[in-house]
Amino acid sequence: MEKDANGRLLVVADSSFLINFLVLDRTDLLGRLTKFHFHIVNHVRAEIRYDDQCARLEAAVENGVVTEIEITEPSEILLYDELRQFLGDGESASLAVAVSRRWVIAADEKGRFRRELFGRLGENYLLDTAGALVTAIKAGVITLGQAEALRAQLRENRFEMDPRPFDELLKEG
Amino acid sequence: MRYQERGWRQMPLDKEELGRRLKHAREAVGLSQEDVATQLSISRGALAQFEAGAKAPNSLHLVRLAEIYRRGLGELLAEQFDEAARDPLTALFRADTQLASDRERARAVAECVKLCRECTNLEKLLGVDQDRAYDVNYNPPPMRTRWDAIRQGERLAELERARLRLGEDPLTNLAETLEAQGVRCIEMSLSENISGLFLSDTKYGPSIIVNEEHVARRRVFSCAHEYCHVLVDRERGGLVSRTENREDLPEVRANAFAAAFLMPEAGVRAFVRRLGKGEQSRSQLSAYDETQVVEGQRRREAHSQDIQVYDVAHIAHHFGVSFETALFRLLNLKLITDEERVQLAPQKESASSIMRFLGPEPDAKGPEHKPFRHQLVLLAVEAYRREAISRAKLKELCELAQVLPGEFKSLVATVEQEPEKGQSGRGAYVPRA
Repeated sequence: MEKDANGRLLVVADSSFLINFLVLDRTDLLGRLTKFHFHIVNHVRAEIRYDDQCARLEAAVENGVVTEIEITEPSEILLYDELRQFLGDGESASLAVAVSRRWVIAADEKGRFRRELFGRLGENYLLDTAGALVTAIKAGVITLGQAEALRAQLRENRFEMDPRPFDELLKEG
Repeated sequence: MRYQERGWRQMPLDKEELGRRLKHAREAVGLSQEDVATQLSISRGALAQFEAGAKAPNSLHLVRLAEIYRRGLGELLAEQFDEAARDPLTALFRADTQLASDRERARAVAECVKLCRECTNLEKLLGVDQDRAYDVNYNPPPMRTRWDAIRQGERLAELERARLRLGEDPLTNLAETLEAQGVRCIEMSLSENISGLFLSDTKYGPSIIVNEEHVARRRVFSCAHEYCHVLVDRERGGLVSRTENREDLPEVRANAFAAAFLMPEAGVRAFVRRLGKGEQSRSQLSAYDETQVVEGQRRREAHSQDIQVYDVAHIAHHFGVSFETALFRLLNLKLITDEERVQLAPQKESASSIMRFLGPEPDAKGPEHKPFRHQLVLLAVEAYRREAISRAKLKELCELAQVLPGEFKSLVATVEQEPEKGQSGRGAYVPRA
C-alpha cells in the first residue's frame, strides 16, 4: 500500500465515491481525512456532468483536496483497456491505477467491480463512503449525528449505505 | 509467416515507438495532423509531439486516437504492432470515399459498428458466443454477365433457404433469422441513395446496416440483399449498396438473391396456384396403360389465368416485399410476361391501397422498435445481473443504445430488487496500512 512523502495513503477515487461528496457539497471532508491523499483520474473528471458538481470538483482540485492525474504508462493503459470489457470508463481507469501502483481505491460500486478489486488487490484496498465517514468520525472531523444526517441526505439522492447506525459501524471499522 | 513479412513491428514500447505507431496509424487512414488535432481538440503541435515521441499521450488521448484510427487501444500498445492491419471499417471507407467524406454519417456508422462489437463482447462474457459461430462459405465461380449474376443469386437463395430449413413460407422476421446466424442487423439513417451496407469483421462477425429512412418492405429487401454480400462477398471486408451501383455484378447478384430468398420459387408457385392462377389456359394430361394412351384435356375460360394487380398486391403482402419486387419475381418465374409486367407496373397506387386493405406492413412497428438495440440492452441487463459487467458499464451500454434515463432506471430496478450476491456483510470498508 503506497504512501506519499507525508505518510498519507495514496487513494484513487472512482466517481461512484466522489459523486457522493459532490452531491453533499462536502468535498472538504476528503481534505480533512489526513490519513489519505485523494486523487482522481481525468476519466473520472470527465464523468462528472452536472454543472454544480463540476464546479465543486474544480474547487476541490484547486484547493488541493483532490489531485487530478493522467495515465500515460503503457502497462496501465493496457490494464485499463482490459478492464473496459466489463467495467465503466472511470472505474476501469481508477482500478488500473490502483492495481498497478498498489494504491487504495475509493469506490462504492459493488458486483463485478468489487469482485475484480478483491481478486486483484484484496479487500483491504477498498475505502467506501461509509468507511470514509467512519474514518471522519474517528478523526473527530464529524460527529455521529452529523454522519447520520449525511447518510439521510445521500438516501434522498438514492444512495443507500449499510442500514446499521454509525456507532455500530464504528465498532466494526 | 515471419513478422517482417506481414508488416509486424516488434519493438519495446517507449514514447518514440508509440509515436511511430501513431503516425503510421494516422497515415493509414489518410488523415492529416491538422484533421486529427481538431477532432481531439488539441493543437497540431501537441499531436506532432506525440508522434515524434517528445511527449507521451495520456489514456484519454489514446482512446480517442484509437477510435479515429479505427484500431484497438490494445493493438496500439501491444508488444507487436501489425502495421498492415486493416479494420473492416477502414476498408469500407476506402471503398466508398463518398460515405467517408460525410463525417456525420461516417461517425454514425462507426457508432453502429461499436454497438455490434459491444454485443459480441457481451455474448462472450455470458458464454453464448459459441452458439453463434458463423462459417458458411459458398465460394461461387466468377460472374461474367448479368445473367450469371442473377442465376447465381437465385441459386444461392435456394441453397441458403435449404440450409436454414426455412421451407417455402414467407420469412416473418428476417432480422431475427439472420441474428440467429451471428449476423448483426441494425438500422440507421443513411443517404437516400444508400439502401444498406455490410461489414465483415473477422474478430466480431458480420454486420448489416440498413437505411431506416426507407419503408419497411424496402428495408426487409435491403437486409436480404446485404445478407447475400455477407455470404459471398465477405473477403471484400465491406460494401456500400448505392442506387448508382445497381448494375455492378455483385449488386445484381445480391438483388436476385434477395428476391429469391424472400420469395422462394416453390412458395410463390403454390401461393399463385391457391389464387387459381398460373396455369396454362389449355392443359393436357395423359394416362398410359403399357399398350395405349388415354388423354384428358382442360380448357380454361379466356383470361381466367391472367394475373391482376390485386393478385400481385396479395403476393407482395404475403411475402412481405414491395409490389415491384413481386412483379419482377413473377416475371423471372415466368408467371407473367414482360408485356403483362409493363401493364401492371403503373398500377402501383392501386396495389398500395390493396396492400393496406390486406393488413399492416410485415414489420410496421413504431420508430421506437429497434430490435438490435433492444437485444443489446437486454443482454447487458442479464450480464449485470450475473455480475459479468458493472453498473457503470451497463449505463454506458444503455446510453450507446439510446436508452432514455427513465427507461434505464426501470431496467436496473428489475435486477437490483434481487438480493446482492457475494457481499461479505461488512458495513464499511476502511483500509488498514
